[in-house]
Amino acid sequence: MDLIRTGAIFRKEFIHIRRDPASLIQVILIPVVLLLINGYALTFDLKHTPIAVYDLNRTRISQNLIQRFAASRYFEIYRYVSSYEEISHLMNTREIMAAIVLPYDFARLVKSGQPVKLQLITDGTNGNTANLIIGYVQSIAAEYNRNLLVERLQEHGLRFSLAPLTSEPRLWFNEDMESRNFIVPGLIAIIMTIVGALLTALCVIRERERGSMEGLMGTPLKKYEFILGKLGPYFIIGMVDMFIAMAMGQFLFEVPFRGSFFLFIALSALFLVVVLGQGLLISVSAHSQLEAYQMAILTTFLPSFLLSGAIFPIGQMPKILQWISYLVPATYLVNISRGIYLKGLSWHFLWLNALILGSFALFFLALSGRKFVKKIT
Amino acid sequence: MWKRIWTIIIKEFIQAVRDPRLRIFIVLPPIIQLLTYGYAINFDYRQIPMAVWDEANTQQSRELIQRFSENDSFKLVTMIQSPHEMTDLINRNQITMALHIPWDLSKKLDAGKRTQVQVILDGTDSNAALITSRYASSILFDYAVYILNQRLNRMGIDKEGSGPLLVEERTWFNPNRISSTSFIPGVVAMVVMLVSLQLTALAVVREKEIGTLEQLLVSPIRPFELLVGKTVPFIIISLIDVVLVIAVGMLWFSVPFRPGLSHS
Repeated sequence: MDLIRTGAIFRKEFIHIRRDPASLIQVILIPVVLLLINGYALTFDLKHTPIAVYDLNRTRISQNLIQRFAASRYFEIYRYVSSYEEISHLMNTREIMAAIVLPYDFARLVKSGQPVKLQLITDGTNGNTANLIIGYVQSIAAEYNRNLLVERLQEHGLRFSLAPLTSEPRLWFNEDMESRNFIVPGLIAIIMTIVGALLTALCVIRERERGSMEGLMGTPLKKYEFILGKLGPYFIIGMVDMFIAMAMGQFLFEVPFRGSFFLFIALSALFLVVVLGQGLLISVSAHSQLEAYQMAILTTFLPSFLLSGAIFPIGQMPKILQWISYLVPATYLVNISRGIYLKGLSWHFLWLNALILGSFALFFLALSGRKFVKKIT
Repeated sequence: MWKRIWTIIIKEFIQAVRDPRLRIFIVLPPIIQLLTYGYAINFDYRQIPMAVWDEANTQQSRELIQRFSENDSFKLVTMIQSPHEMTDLINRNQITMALHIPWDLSKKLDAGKRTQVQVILDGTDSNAALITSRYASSILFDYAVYILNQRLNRMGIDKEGSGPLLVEERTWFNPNRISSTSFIPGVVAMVVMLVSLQLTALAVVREKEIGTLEQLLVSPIRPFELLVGKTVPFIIISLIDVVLVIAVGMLWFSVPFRPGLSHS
């Protein structure tokens, strides 16, 4: 091991990146664009959902219920309609996401204490949103019922506690229920995967394809000096991108950061070594840059995007996909990142994730070291 | 001109069919992507892991717990004894929700007083927390109504007044609000974009790489004809992929396909 030789490769690779504007732009744009798009677009929060109201009853009592919808911050009455066709039209043009229909005998039934049906029509093309809307409507209905009950019992002259059992849900770690507090820490793992694995996947195979590898073969440079020198610059780039992402999370998205800053830096650096190792392994096994690129997308980017839990909840996947998710390194960084960002977790809770990441790093580096043969092919 | 374009189209087709790597590339990635997206993207929350801290330990508290454990939305992972245990489980992502029943639950309920149970949610995933909280409160609300009715019955008033307003929900286009039904039509667009983009991107650059572009350059074919001839086969192949992906979506994920439904 000769540090001077490693340093030489390191410098060469760095100059290489610096003088290649395309890859330089990539390095800066990837984190910024990914965070901007996903941070703003991936929101599961519902606010001011446009709904249509079809009131067949048109009485003070039906108005009173509609008023509750208008007052709720989850709904916004987009239009009062007078037929199902209108609802259908508004739904098809996606102007409304839901519609409520009050039957013509609404007031009579409510007054006589008989069950009355409030029809709720939701647009199921987004099942998740429809679920949330139904939940909000049900809670409005529940409150309405409770108030009716109060009035009714007071008529009887009874006055005992009306809600025998109440609950006050307490939301830990994300009091404001902001989707971006969930998305941004997860995205950091995806960004580091893309930058780390995609760039390194090309770094060795490029030399082979362009034929400059043969020149390196003729030098006294040793295998590990070559690998270390090659990975060094990408490590620095990966860390820079992580800081860009963190800064955007802090200042643009205002995601709370509750844990230890240094623990986060240390563990994400460890994760970066894992993805660099993955990229290196791809680079020494691929036969062309194109193949390396496709392999990198398929084996690093897609799993980290889909299966790491960064965006889609792992707990709701079928068992087989859950097992596969344990083989995706990004899963562990997502755990760590959310843990440190939102829960403020310490090393005590995270050591297992770190240990697994460490094993991944050793595995990928050792395997690519074995695969990389310093021979002219 | 049409003859030359036709020749290129035929040549591309033969190349696509005879190249084993390309053959696999046309079929496999769309299906794999569809399967992963179809299964990985799932917001239909079921079996949400929860823990219960039952300080009351009475018949009523057990009744309430049973309502949670029998509900398909929840999975009772463990019973806990302290707030410390609860924090630990939430920190380790073992549970999404914890239910804390106070020691005086039955005492207060029997006395007709108002009592409060605590629902603690891991808000890290705000969407999951929102849905979980909704499931939990509807169970709690049902139980509250049940107790209220019991009480009214005991006083000789029948349940004339309890909860007359029912929500009758109808979800159009996707009655059971299944995630895969929502997502797969979008995946079709994405898969086709990826496949056709990659195939056509490769089409010309491959000729360059293999060196056969030079042969094309000396042939009488014009650039426009070459481009058309190169694009048309991949349009057809992509359309085959569309059919394939829609077929898998319909047969495997039972996603409805309803052309001509809209009358507007």
